[in-house]
Amino acid sequence: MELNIVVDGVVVPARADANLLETCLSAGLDVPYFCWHPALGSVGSCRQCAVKTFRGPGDEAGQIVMACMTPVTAGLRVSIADERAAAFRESVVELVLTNHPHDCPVCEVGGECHLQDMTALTGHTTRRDRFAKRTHLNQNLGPFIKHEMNRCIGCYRCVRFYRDYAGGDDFGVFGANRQVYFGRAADGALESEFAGNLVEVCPTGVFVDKPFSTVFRRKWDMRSTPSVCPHCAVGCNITVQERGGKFRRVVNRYNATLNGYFLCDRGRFGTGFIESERRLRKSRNRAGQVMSHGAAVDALAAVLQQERVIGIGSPRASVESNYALRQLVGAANFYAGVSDYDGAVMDAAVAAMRVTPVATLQDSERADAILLLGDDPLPVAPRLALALRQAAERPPAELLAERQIPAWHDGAARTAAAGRRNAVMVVSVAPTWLDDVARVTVRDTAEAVARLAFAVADCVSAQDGTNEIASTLRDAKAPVVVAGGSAALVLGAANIVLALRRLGVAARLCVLLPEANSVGLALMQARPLRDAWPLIEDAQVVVLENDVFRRGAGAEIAAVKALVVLDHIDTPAVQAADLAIAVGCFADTDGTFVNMEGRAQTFYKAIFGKDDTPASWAVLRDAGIAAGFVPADAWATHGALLDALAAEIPALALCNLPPPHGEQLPTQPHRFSGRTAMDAQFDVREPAPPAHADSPLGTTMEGAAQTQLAPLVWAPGWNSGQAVNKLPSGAPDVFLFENPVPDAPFFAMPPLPWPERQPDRPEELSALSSAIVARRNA
Amino acid sequence: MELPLTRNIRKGEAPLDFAGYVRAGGYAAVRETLGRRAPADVVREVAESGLGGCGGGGFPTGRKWQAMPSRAARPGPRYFIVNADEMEPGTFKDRLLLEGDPHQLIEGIILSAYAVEADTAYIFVRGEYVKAIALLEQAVAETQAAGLLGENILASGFDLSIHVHAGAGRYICGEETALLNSLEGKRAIPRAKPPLPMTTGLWGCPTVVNNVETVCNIPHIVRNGADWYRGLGRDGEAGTKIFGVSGRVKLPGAFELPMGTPMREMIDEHAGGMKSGYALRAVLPGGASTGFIMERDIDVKMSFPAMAALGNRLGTGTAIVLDDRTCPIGFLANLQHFFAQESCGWCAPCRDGLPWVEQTLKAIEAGRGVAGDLELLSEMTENLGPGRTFCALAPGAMASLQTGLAFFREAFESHIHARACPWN
Repeated sequence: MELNIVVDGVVVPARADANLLETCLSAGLDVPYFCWHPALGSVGSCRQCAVKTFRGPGDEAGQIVMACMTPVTAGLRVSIADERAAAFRESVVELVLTNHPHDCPVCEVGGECHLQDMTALTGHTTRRDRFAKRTHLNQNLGPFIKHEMNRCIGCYRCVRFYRDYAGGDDFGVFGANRQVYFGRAADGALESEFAGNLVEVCPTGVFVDKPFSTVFRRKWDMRSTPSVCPHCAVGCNITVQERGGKFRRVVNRYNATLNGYFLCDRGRFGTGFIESERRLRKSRNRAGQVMSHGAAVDALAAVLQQERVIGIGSPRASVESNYALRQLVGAANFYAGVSDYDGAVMDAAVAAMRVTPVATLQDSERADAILLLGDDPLPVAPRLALALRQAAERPPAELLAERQIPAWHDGAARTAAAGRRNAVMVVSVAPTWLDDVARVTVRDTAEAVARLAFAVADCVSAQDGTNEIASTLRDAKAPVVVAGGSAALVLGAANIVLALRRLGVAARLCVLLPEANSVGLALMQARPLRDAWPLIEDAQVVVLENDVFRRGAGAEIAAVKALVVLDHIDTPAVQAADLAIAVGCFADTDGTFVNMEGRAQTFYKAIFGKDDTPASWAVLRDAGIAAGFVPADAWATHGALLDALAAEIPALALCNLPPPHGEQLPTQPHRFSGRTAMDAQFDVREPAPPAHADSPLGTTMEGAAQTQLAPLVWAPGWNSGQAVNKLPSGAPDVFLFENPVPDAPFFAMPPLPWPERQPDRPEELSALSSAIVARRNA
Repeated sequence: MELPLTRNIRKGEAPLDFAGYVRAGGYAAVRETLGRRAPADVVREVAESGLGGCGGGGFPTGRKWQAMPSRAARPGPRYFIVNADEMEPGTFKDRLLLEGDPHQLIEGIILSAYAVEADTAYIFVRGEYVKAIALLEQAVAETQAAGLLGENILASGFDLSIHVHAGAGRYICGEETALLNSLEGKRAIPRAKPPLPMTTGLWGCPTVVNNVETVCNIPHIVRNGADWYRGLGRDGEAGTKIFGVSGRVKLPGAFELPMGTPMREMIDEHAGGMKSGYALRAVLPGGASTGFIMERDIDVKMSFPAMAALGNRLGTGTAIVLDDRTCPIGFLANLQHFFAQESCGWCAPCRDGLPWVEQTLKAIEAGRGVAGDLELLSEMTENLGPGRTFCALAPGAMASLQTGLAFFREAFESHIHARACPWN
């Protein structure tokens, strides 16, 4: 419900379901705060967001309240500027700083510190405390997070995120009074898969990105580029930061309907693969001799000109690169670079997503009932697993309505819920991360789980009251069925959603898929890989960013006439290749991934290094032109390639929507530090900016203001990432499956025998990151 | 003068056991009430009696009980909790009742739980009160054995079990919502109010938390009626109260007196007056969380409204006397040390403000005060005051400081100017 309040005499629009703090921030007003977090809600512990409210027209005295704990009502009169309120806010900053070490010059967060911003906002400048500060010993929290407890201002956000939100239990708050200590019972690596978020949740520098601190640069000294995480099919929005051509770190990029404020550790720390020893920077021939890029392109052109050329695509390569290979070898010779088992799952997923409404991560997070079928989402799609945990832990809406507790009132909502959860039902082969919050857990064989999915669909249709799972879904308002593990299971899950829709329940489907572009590849109409094996003897095989030995290839590879592998990491397939061509990865090229929700997301060149190699699609284009397969002006730009793709494959046409902004966006920050040239420590003259015409992003600090693509958020006076709370969210994303088919027929259960599943292997890119390796060994 | 709360308590003697308590008229109110009077009738009786919460707040007990949703509106478990976590400095009145007449409390619990239709009761008792814990456990066992606890008590259809829970030693557990968190096994930090415990209390269920002394009044009110109870007080006040005096008086201790007894009478007659060589300078009327009353004001009545009229609070009613030979700054520093240590660490002003106050007071007392210290302390009394912090701990701590700054201004200034404590 929309309403208006009056803040210092100005009418401010408000929502009845938002608290006063959120309302003021959204209106662009500055109210300092620490303990509130938009995803964690209000607890009222820091007392920083004090404002004055007035009881009615005649109330002149007013009373000081905490904005985060105050509901808004129509006509509410508020003063932020009130002298007493302002003095109290300044005193809170003064008090929390009594123990803060003022080590900003050596703190990684200096310059993007919420505590610094809030201190400046309150106007506090002079330290009066003359006594000894309390000090703490730090803990070794493992390879991801550096611990600096002396900086702690006691906002409790870390422990609320780690325990209440992410379900961790090896980190907590100890002690009392000014000695409160946020850490573990003993030194040791944080066990949560989401520990890295502590870096961004902490309003100051208690939890620091440890790999980043070894290559540290100030926020204003790094180029920041909007990007998409390549490590799983969720496709969380990230910002990649670099300086001098060297990768520095990944931070979260807020997207309301996808990752929101949080990333998983694989995404945050896995990107180190781009600096790993196994990064393929130079092309080489069979003998291991390094080839120039031009020579490699020519050699690829020569291969393409041979008879019988087969292309093998990849679910970790972009839509563009898969498309380029498909066009060069011909659709009939283009094979999906996944195992037959995974291929069947992908095909089933696409078939299901075309007829059922697809759940965004936000849909899953807000669902009032979840049925999880098959795989544990934690290793496959960690950020989705975190969303499902919220679905379970969010206090039931009816309960809060009955007690008149607003959903943002986290403390009261948790007290009232007293452990009551929304229904999460887990039917799986092995234990899952959600078992501890599940209302129902069923363990069975993969085949039995799939059969159960079809049976639940039948029970829903028959309105059979004896099946608890079916009844719970039917009684829910917005249930989500999450499935992954086999094609049969995905189709069974789709049937449950279809059956619920027929009864008028707004159910949605979420399919667990393993890789960044699994859906994009599935939409390419590639042939199954098993059909390629009989043909590869004496064929020329061009493999795109794919270790085919992970996909079921074996000795037959030895029989090929020529094996060409384009990749950015040195895999066993690269080592077996006759021609290995170094190409760019997601961080130094442009491209598009389609995530598990069918959301097409473009990433842009973020790192400008000296020995950068082009994207696979550009290499293939150049070789295609040299071979005379494509016209010399083909795919001259990224946009031109997307035009061609849209014309050729309608299912992917929406990938070609223009970016959601008109003007070029800057990726270089403004020079707040007063330096002239970015590399002034080497040369005071400004170097020529790198040229990158393909991207809608500029490579300099010139360009338009904030939009959804904004790589890093800033607001006046807000230098930390929390400036996001002061900015409107941007344009909607592009979804490829937007038109579910009403009354679509049910899927038939695939005929037996069902294929045997191969054991899963860890995601191969993040496994090369030194931070991830260190964490595995910790 | 009728003194119902302490009528069974004999100094130096063991408390009455179940049989002795029954012989003294105990549990008659239970037999007369369970299944014979409607719970709402008991609530009304207590509301009419004028009984106020004896833990320090003085909030009308009947109104607290009336805030419980009806059983029909909220089916499921309901809890009655006795706050026996007596940790207020200078306060030892509940201990007298716990150790002196445990069955009186048990009877009060049965009647109170019946009134609010709770089927489970907890006595959250301060862990250091080992003697009280043993006596309570014994009293519960005896009462259970006698059939006055358990299922369908006296065939009334009313079920009740009582659990004695020893606290682990934090002052903040005396705050009712922190007590609930602690009882649930969580960190002892207060909860935001609203929602009040009556709607969203222990494990989210309807819950009443009452102080020991409050509950001990219940059997007498139920037995004798609201009018009788109102008549016990002096000068228009209702009931009796366990008052107490500590400090350099001749007979420090706790004693039951009519509500409304003048403070001077309490100190001079019941506490024996000041020890020879000491003069009364000021009094904290009800524990460390109340403000100073200067000697000129000690004719004030000991009652909630009379104290409020002085801008002060009756608190627990157990007074601490400051004499003329004790440095008031040191006295305040000692109090603030307690509060700084017992801050739960949840909200910033309390957690980080109280240690600063303590250090500043200690510096002043040691002759290391500086210009600006008094201004700082004065600011703190506002910034750590009511409405600013999450709960009442820091505002309670500021009560003595605020009045101390006003009343002992000269002492503060002479410490700072002389760079030494004049009392040393």
